[in-house]
Amino acid sequence: MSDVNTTMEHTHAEAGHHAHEAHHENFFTKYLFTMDHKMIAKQFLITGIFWAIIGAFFSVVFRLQLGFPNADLSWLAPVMGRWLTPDGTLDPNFYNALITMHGTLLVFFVLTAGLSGTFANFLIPLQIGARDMASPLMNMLSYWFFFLASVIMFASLFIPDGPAQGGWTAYPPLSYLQGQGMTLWLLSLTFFVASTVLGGLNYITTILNMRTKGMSMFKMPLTIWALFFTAVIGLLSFPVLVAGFILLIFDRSLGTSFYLSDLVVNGQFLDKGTGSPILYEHLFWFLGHPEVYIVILPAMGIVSEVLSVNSKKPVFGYRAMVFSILAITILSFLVWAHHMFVSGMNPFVGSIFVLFTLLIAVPSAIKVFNWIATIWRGNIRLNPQTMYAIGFVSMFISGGLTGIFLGNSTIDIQLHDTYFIVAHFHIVMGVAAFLGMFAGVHHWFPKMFGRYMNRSMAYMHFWVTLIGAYLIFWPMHYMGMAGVPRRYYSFDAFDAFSQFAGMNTFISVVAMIVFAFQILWVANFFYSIFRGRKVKESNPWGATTLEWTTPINPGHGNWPGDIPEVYRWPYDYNKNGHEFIPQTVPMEEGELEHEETPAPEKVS
Amino acid sequence: MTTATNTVQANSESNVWEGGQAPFGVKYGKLMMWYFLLSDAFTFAAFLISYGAIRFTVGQDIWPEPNRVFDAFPVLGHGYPLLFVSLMTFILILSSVFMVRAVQEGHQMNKKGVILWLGFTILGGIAFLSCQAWEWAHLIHNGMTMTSPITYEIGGHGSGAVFVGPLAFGQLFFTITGFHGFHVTTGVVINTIVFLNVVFGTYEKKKNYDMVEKVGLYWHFVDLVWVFVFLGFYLL
Amino acid sequence: MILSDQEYQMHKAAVWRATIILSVVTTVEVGIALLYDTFFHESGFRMALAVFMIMATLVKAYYIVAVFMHLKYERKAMAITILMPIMFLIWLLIALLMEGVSWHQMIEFYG
Repeated sequence: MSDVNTTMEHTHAEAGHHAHEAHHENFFTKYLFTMDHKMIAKQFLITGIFWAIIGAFFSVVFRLQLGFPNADLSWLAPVMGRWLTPDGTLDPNFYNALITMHGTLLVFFVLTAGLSGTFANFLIPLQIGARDMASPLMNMLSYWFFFLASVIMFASLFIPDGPAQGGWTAYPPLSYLQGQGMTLWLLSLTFFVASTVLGGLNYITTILNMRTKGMSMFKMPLTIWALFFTAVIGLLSFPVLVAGFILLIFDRSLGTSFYLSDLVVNGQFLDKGTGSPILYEHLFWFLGHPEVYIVILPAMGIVSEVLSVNSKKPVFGYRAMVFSILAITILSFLVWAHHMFVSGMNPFVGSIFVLFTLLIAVPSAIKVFNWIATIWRGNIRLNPQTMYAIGFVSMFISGGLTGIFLGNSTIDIQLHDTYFIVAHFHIVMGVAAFLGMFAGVHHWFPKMFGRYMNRSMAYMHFWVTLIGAYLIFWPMHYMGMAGVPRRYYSFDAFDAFSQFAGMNTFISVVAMIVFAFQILWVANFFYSIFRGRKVKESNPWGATTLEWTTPINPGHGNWPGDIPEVYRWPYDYNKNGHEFIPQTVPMEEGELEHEETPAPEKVS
Repeated sequence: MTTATNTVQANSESNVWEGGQAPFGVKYGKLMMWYFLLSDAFTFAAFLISYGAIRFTVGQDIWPEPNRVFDAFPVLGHGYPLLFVSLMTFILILSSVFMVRAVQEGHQMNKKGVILWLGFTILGGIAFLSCQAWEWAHLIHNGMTMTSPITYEIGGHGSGAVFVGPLAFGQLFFTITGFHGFHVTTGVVINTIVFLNVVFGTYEKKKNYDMVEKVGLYWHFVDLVWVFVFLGFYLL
Repeated sequence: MILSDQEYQMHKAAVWRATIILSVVTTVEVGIALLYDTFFHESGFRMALAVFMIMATLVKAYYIVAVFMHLKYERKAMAITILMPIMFLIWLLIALLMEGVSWHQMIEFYG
C-alpha cells in the first residue's frame, strides 16, 4: 500500500502537466463537457440561478392570488397560458402545481445543487490544495445527471396535466392520484439523487485523500468541514428517499399498496389492504430532515469563513465549530419524525423525537455564539459579503428560535401546517441559506471570474432582501398562530381569516418588491462577469486560505507550479503584528500555534 | 498486503492525517466504492425496515409461513421447504468465495488465477439469477403477484384448507428480491466487463488488479444483502 | 503488494475457514427454521428463535464484511467511518417497528 502516495504524486504531476497544455481546449471541452472542477462549479451555479428565478417567479404568482384573491391575471397569460382560467384568475389546480414546483425547485435544485454543488466543487480542491477532484469524470457526470434532472423537471412544466401538484413532500394518497406530472417529478428527482451521490462520493474521498502536505484535518477551513459533512449527510439520506420513491412508483404504476390502505377516494372504495401513508412520510423525512442541513451547513461554513476574513480575527472556537457540525450531522438523522407529529404516528415515538429535536438547539446555539464572538471587537470591513454573512446570522437566530416552538409535539398540534411553519422554515433555511450563498458568491467571485461584483447594487439588494424577508415572514407567524393553514388557494370560505386579508396583501406587495431586487442581483452577477472591475491582486480580501495563492485566473490544475505546502491553520489573523498570515507561510522559530497561545489578558 | 500496510503505519502512524497522503492507506477508487456501498446499504435497509413495519402492521397471525410458501424444488415438486432457497444461498456464498480468491490472485499478479476464479464467480452469479427466475416464475404461476395475494393449502399439498395471505407479502417479496436481483444482474455485467479486461491484459499493463478488488467489494455486498433478505423472508 | 508465500497461504486458509463457518451457520438456521410449524407454535418460542436467527445472521454478516470484504485488515479509522453510520439505521429500525405495532393496534381498534 505504500505505493498509494507515489500514485497520488503521479496524478498530481500529471494534472499539473495538463494545466500547461490547457490552451488547446475548444468551446465544448472548456465550457460544456469540462472536467475542471471550477467550471463545473460555475455550471452548477448558473443552472441554480436559472431555477431560482423560475421558482421565485412561481412564488410571486401564487402570492398574487393570496394577496389579491381571484384578481384578473390575464396580463400574465403569455407566460402562464393554460394555468389561468378563461376569466383570467389562477386555476386552483395550478395553484397547487405552483407551490409544489416552488418547493421542489428551491429546496433541491437551488439550495442543494446550486449551493453545495457550486461551493463544494469550487472550494474543495482549491482550499485543500489539490489539482482537481479525486475523479473529475464522476464530477462531470454529477453535473450532467443534475442537468438531466433539470431537463425532465422543466419538461414537466409543459405537459397537459401540468407538473406535479402534490406538494414538495409528495405524500400519498394525494401523490398516488396525480397524473404524468408526478411521474416526471419522481423520475427527475431520482436522477437528482444519482447526481448528489456521485458528487458526494467525490467530495468525501477528495477531502480525505487529496489534502496537500501539511493540511491536516484540523488545518482545514470551516467551509471544507461543512461541505464534508454536507456530503456525508447527502450520501446517507438520499438513498432512503430513493427507496421511498421506488415504493411510491410501484404504488402508482404497478397497483401495489405499500402506502395505501382501504380508503375511499372520490366516492370510490380502493381495496388496498394494510399499507400506511405514514410509512412514506417516515421514509421521506429520513431524507427530508437531513436535507435542511444539506441546505444550511454549506451556508454556515461560508459564513464562518467570510466573517473571520472580514473581521480579521480568528474564528472563535474553531474546534467547537467543527464538533458542532458533527453533532448537527448526527442529530439530523435522529429527528426526522418531528415533521409528522400530527400524522397519526405513535405518540410515544413522537416524544422521543421531541427530545432529540430540542438537542439540536445546543450545537446550533454554539455556532451562533461563535459567529458573534468572531466579529466581537474585530476590525470589521462592511463589504457586501460581510453584510450578507451578518444577515445570515440574524436570520438563523430568528428562524431557529421558532424551531424550538415547533419541536415540541404539543405546541406543534396547533402550529402544524399553518403559516407559522412556513415562516419558520423560510427564514431559517430559505432566506438564511440564500444569504449565505450571496455571501459566498460575493466572496469568491474574484476567484471564479477574475472580476468584482458591483458593490452599490449589492448593498441595495442586501438591505431590501433582509428587511423585505422580515416584512414578509414576520406577519406570517401571527397568521400561523391564529390557525391560517398553508397551501390553501383562497380563504374566502373562512370568515375568521378575513381579518388577515390586508396582511396578505401587504406580504404579497413586499414579496414582489423583494423579487424585483433578486432580479437586480442576477443582473449584477451577469453584468459583473463581463463588465465588472478587474481583479488586480491575487488576494483581494487578505485571506489566509490556499485558493488565494493561485493565479488570478487559475487554469485547470489550479497551481502552475508545485502545490503549496501548508504550515498553519487557516485563521491566523492579527497575529504577531501581521494582519493575516497565509497558510503557506512556515511557522517562525518559537511561534505558538493558535491553540497553544495563552488567552489574551482581560481588558478592564 | 498486511505487511505493506503495517510498514506504512509504522513509519507514519502519527501523521497519516497530516496531508499529502491517503490517511487510510487506500486509493480513492476503493474508498469511493466502500462509501457507495454504505450508501446503497441505506437503500436496502430502508426497504427491509419498511418490510418490518408493514409486517408488524399486518400482524403475525395472518402472515404466511415461509416453510409453506417456499416448499417447491424444480423437478422434485412440492414438500421440500426451504431446500431451494438454501441452494441459492450456497451458490451466492460460493460465488462470493470465488471472488475473494480472484482478488487474492490479483494481488499476486497471477492473471491465469484471476481468469479462473472470476469466471467461476460470474457462473455463480448467473446460476443464482436462474434460480431466482425459476422461483419467481413458480410463485407467479401459483397466483402470487404484485396485486393478488399468496395462497397455499394449510395442511400441506392436497389437504384442501386454503390459507389466503396479505397482499403485502407478495409485493414486498417481489420488490425486495427484485431490487436485490437487479444488483446481482448489474454485478454480473460489471464482472463480465472486468473479466474481459483481465483476459485482454488491461490490468496486467496497468500493473495492478485494483479494479478486480473494487468489483469484488460490490459482489460481496450483494452477498451481504442476500443474508439479510434471507433472514427477513425465509427465516423469520 | 505481492505477498510472501506463507502469507498467501494464510489468507487463503482464512477465507476457506470463513466459508465453512458461513455454511455451517446457514445450515443450522435452515434446520431450525424447518422446525417452526412442527414444534414451536407458541409466540414465546418464536420470539426466542427470531432473536437467535438475527444473531446468526449478524455473525454471517461479520464474516462477509471482515474477511471477504477485507475490512478486518484495513486501518481501524476506515472501518469506523464505514460502520458508525449504520447506527442511524438502528434508530430507523426501532422507530419504524414501534410504528408498525402502533398501526396494527389502530387497525384492530378502528376495524
